[in-house]
Amino acid sequence: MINNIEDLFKKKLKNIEIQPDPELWNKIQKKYKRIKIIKNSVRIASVALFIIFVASLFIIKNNAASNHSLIKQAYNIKILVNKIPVSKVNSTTPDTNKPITNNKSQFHHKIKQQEHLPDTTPILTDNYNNTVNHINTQKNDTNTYKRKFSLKVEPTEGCAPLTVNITIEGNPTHLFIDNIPRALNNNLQITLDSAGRHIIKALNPWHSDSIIINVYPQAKADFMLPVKTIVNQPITFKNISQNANTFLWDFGDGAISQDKNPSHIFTKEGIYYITLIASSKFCSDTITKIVQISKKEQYLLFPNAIIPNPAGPTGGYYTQNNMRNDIFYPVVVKKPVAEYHLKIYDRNGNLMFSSDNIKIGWDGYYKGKMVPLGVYVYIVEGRFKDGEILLQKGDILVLSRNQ
Amino acid sequence: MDKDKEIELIKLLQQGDRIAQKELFDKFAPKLLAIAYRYAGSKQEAEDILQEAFIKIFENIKKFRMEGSFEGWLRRIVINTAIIHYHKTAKYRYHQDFETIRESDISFYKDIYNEADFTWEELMKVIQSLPKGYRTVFNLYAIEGYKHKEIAKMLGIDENTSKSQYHRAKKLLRKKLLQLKKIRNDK
Repeated sequence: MINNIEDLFKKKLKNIEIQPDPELWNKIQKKYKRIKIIKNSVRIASVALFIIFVASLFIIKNNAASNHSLIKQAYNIKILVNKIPVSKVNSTTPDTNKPITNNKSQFHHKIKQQEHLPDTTPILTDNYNNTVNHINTQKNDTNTYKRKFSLKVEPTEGCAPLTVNITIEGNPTHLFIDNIPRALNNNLQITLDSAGRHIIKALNPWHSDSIIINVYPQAKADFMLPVKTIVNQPITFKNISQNANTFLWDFGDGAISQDKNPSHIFTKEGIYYITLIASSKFCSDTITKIVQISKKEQYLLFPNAIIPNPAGPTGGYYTQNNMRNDIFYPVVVKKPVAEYHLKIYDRNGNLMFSSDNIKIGWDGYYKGKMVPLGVYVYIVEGRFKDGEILLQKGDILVLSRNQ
Repeated sequence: MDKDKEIELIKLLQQGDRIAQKELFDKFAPKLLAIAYRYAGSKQEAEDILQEAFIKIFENIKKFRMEGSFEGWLRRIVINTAIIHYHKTAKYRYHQDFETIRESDISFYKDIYNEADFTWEELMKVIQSLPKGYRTVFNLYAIEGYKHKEIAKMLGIDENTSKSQYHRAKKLLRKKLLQLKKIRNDK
């Protein structure tokens, strides 16, 4: 008899046994092995990190020590730049070891300030001359393996696509352009198509050098033509150039501007060639567009020629889509007209026709007879509904239909 | 297992002996699995707990200093692993069905049981059907014998939460046991 729920569970469940799945042991073993492997690799990695740490401490210490011999250091830079054979160096420096003989190996360590990357920390390099017969192109050092090399790239910045010349002196074993290995060649010409930072890196087991090349995106000049192109009114050109920050505009009438979105007034009507040169530091692009500058905007458009109906006067009434072109009337009316006076003169100044109604045009007849073929002049005066004065002049050619 | 044999086994284990590990598994796995079973909601989860517990045992056997009971040490590792599992699924901690919270009509029922009334399998099923939070607290308090203060620390909950969860767990267990009894009587 149990009068407590805890005791019931305690007694019944405390000392029971459940047989595990026979597979479980295998699973545990596998998992344990995996964990062991991970732990070991972590241990190895941490040891390696520690070694690197100690090594870097050592380098820093050496660096501090070498500050005493600044002259020596400067001399070493000279060696690198001038590519003086090592044997010569030794003969001229009293504090280094005697000239090298082929049978003896000798080490001497130097701290070298890299010539291409003046801001980086000094890198520990050494001059190691040994007896290995290395196929060397330099005559004087056939037995000397030169570890140092120089990497020169010209130019180091420019506009895409940029062609650069890579010059390598010495013996690097690998060349990488943007981390992609390239075949080694002492003089190499490559073209960098894409804009951005490109890294050219050369290395051998003892030394590495890299140069960063900045390629700027190609500029593209473009602008939008203005909607209104009327004489004596400021016309604004909208610049839509890309990858550019300085602009030069030539408006074709002798005026220039350096504004981004310039405004210009043309004093004469005609056709102008507008040229825009858009440029950034390294790139530039040119575009030319034609713009026609016209007189004051004309709201009524008249035809410049009519063919009068030979059958007789029609009275000048017309429908808007008159295909026969036998009546002279404003073909396009852009603005409603309130007052309208059309007068047509011949070359002698005689009034041929007048109309106060925009709905009545000229049929090409004067006093019941068709006018002689030729040029006539028209004048339209009046007022638009918004109050603007209407004044348009022009000439008409009266033709006959070729039959 | 007598004491000398046990000490020998532990020493072998501390050297990382494979055969000793297998022996330890064969000897203790059934008991430890039973513990894991009480904490887990399913067989799968129980085996997961046991797996992790055994890996912990193998890795930490060097820290065992032959003081106190070895089996107790093993049990504690399984319970700790189960608690870690509890924390992993902590987002379900506050998930409770309404049914489980409702006060039921069995509050006047007196706790009188015969040991023979239920088999351990039935009790195990009842315990496993509890919500995770209740189950863990009930196991720790009623069977392992920890105090609410300790449980609260282990599970990262309030001491009062531990107490209230324990009471609710008990109520729920009573209800379920009663149902079990009724079903049997009906038969």
